[in-house]
Amino acid sequence: MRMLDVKDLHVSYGAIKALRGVNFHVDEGEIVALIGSNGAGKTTTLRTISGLERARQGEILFKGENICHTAPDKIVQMGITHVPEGRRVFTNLTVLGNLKMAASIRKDKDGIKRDMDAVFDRFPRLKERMNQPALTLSGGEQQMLAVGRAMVTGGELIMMDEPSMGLAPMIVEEIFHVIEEMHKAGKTILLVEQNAMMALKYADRAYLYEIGEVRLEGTAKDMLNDPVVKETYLGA
Amino acid sequence: MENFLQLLVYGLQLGSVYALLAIGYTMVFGIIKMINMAHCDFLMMGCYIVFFMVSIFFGDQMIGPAVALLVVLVGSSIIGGVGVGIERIAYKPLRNRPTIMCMISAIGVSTFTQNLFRALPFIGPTPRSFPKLIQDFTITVGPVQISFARIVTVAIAIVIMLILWFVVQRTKIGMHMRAVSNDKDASSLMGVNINRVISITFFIGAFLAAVSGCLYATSYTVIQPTMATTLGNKAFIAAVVGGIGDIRGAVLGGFVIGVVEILVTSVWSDLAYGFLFLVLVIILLLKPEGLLGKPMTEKV
Repeated sequence: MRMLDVKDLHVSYGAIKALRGVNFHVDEGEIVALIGSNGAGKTTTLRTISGLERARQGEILFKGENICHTAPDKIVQMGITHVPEGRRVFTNLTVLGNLKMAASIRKDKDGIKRDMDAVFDRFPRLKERMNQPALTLSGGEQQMLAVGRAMVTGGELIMMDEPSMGLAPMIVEEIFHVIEEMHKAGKTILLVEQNAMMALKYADRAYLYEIGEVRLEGTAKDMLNDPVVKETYLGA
Repeated sequence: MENFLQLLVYGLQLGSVYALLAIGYTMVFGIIKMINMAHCDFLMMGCYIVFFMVSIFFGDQMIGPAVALLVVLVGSSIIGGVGVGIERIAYKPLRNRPTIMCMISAIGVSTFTQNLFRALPFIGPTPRSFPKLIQDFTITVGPVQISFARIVTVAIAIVIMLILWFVVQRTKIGMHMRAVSNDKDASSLMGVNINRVISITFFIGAFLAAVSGCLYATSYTVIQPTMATTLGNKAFIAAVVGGIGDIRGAVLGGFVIGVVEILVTSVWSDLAYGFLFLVLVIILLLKPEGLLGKPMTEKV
């Protein structure tokens, strides 16, 4: 089933055109990666899907429904969870407070408790720091918390923006393992990464962005072997 | 010494008014990073709405303390609603613009409101006398004579601040407010309706300002459309002294400014207002983020 369908998406910041007619789709159960260099429009794409930016033209269909004019909080309730670039944890709240925020849209107390326990089992470091302000966490721990929040919010489609940014390789591996686990648990994943190698290792399909447009698309395997991708983005 | 204690009580009473008013400045700043230049006008509106409620429903008769409190709370809630409306009309459309535009819009709101009130035939520019809400008498503790009304106003202010503290720290909506003040986009992504949280913040701010107006007018009974400007400036100083964005700071700053003002007034009354700015400058030189504020860090 088609989970997300982005058609001819145009987004501008003032006079600057960030997206110039982007088309892509994500099917249920897939991991899809958006790769490409800095400033190509990957983050803008995710922010527009979440309703934080407004499309100037085009359509975003989530399970067949156009969400271009839907408010961000409604989009979350519909089942799209977005782990933003730069983690964006609430530094003035505790680790537990951050997870409670992630549970804002949920009413099932038992389920919330179960999912929070799952986060603490998966990231014991967060459990140790449960009552500390998120400000005191390291970058890696903040990313764990950001992913933990997504586990608690629990939408069907999880969008991850640069989960590897600025992290030590070991922590990157750990984060990607969790993404894989979420995928196995039935989530659909839309992944934005500059670390193309890492993204293509886990993704089913990928789209290569270049200055506001999709330049290439294909299965992750084909992308890994594509000469352009290889030379420009994989450094081979 | 007796004189000092006496003045301290006066200072705490005026301070509680500043504190309630400063909380509104600080909360609005915390959540949309804008100084609401029209905030003090909610104080004036609070005085007028209670004035009219009392004169329409009770005439000249004395009302009991419970009824008086009810009138103040109902009137202030209406002003809270006015605050929500003003945010919707004058600030929300400018939310994604530089905050200076919002501030200019706020100055417009303030000028408009004050002049509208002066122009309305049933309000007008002439000062009016705020109704007596509490039967005042003097309590003598040792050498100190304290007006009962002043103690009541301080007590009410403190109770309200404790309730607010509980709401912000312990309830879900309080957590949402703290989250939105920290990161609006991230809050949206957690499914929080930002507009609702901002509306609630404006409601609380305007409500507290209206209450503070009634508490003020209980002791300083002259009310007029322009009465709030100076009070607002002092409360704003209080918010900055305490550390803008921090509710505890606003409370502390309010009491500090209130007590300092009364003490200086007792020595040389012409100097008091100016002296407050001196306090502001000294504190900002020593601790630029205010007494309880945290240094602001630019996000990278």
